[in-house]
Amino acid sequence: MKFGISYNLVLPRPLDSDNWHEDDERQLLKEVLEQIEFADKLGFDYVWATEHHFLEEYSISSAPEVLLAAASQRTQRIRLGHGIVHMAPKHNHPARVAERIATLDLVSDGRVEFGTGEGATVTETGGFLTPRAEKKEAWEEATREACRMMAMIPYPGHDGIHFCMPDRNVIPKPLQKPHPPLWVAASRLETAMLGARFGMGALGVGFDTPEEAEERVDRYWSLARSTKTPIGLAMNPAISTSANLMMGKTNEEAMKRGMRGAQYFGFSLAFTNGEVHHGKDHLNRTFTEKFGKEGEEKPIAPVQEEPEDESQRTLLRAGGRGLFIGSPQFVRENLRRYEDAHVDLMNWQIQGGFRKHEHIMETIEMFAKEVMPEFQERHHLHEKWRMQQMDGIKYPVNSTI
Amino acid sequence: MADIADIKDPTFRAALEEAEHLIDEGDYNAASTKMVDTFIELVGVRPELLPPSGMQEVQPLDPKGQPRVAEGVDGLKLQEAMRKWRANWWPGTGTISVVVQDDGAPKAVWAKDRVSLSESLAYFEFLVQQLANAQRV
Repeated sequence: MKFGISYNLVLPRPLDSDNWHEDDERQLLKEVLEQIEFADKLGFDYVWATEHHFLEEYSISSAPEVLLAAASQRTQRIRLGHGIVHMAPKHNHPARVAERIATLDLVSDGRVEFGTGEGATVTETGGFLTPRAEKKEAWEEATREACRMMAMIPYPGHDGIHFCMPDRNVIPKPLQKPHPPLWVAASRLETAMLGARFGMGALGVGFDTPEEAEERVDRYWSLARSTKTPIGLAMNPAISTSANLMMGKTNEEAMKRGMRGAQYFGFSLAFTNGEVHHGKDHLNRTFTEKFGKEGEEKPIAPVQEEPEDESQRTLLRAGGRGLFIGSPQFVRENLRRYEDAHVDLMNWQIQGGFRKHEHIMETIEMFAKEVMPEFQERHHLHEKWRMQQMDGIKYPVNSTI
Repeated sequence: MADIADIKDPTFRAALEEAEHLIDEGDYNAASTKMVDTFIELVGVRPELLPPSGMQEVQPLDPKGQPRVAEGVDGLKLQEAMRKWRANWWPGTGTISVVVQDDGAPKAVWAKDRVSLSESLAYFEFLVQQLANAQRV
């Protein structure tokens, strides 16, 4: 199993102001770059930056290519993942995506992972006037063409439904041939399996349980082996999942450091799909009214039964303790269950809400030194298992697992 | 997770095989038509899949703009019935939606006259899983 850190760049407004303080956004970006540099030095395999637009207090990660470019100059080894690029042409023209991915791949000496997605929320798709009923086919068309643009000399042009373009040579070309490893954001089961059929890594963002992950892995590999329609020019058979991580010497210390941030993450994520008052909502104040001030939190009744709907379940899990807010022993034991399920990659959500930079740095260090080594030592067994799974795949593979 | 081979009902299994064949042939509209018709047929056999009577669409936010999910048990109960229904209902984010008419009968509504490969594959995965789930009940 490999490990990554995923960034939404969650930034609540301060309680004492209707808007962010002048330095808040800059400060967050600087801290995140420091965290990525530290993770690289300690041996994390991937860092992922999301792309979100207009989602105030949930994410300021609207230009991940800039953050990743900055990270590329401060790191040596860590893979730089777009998690994900909004592929609808009204959000990002496919030629511009191909150009940016290739340029980032060059300046990072071939360390890019090309994660793709539709754009999830009405706030975002609506902001770019992409009808909800068209976003999946727009994603498909744009992703296929962006891959072709990165590989073909010249690109012959495209007369499609969501964009048209005359023949041009889209330059530069990426260092990784034919293009960097491809992923698709997969919060729903159907999309993960679609990823298998399209030869894409399933970038899980749904906080799967180990049992759910195991079930997905079996079906995913079966479909990947029999795929007839890879969307890119090379397949990236891989399945990842994500979880909320915060560590402390004891479970109590970790929960004290991490729970409020997890709850805020779930709370703000819930807002993104609803009725938003742009520039007027103050999520942090609403959250604080509901949950209490820091250190004076109101008790929350535990949820006895999880929602069956995957999207709602994701919201709930995003705001809960989950399996990875705890001591090294707690984290290690739960992580072994995902390793047993043959998950290729675990992406940690560490930054979020009110979590302090020093606690995030300590978590990165504690995980890297006290938990990660045993999983790295066993990774060769997973590689062997992957080779068996890949037996029968008929297309070229470009995967960094 | 389910596969076509897991579906025991010969009619439903044949429908899935035909849909898969149509996808392979590149006829995504015909494949999706077959799949949505099969889903409506499934609802006919299993009316408990229909939305609860009088239930309105529930968003994650209440009218005051506050996430219900953050309200713990009470907030979740408000939506539980709708969530259970939604999880087993035709995915509503693509070209085809399935709506319930005044007489209670489900009907496919097309937002546009074309279905992409990715949509048809997503519908396929959904339907296989639903047909497998129906066998377990």
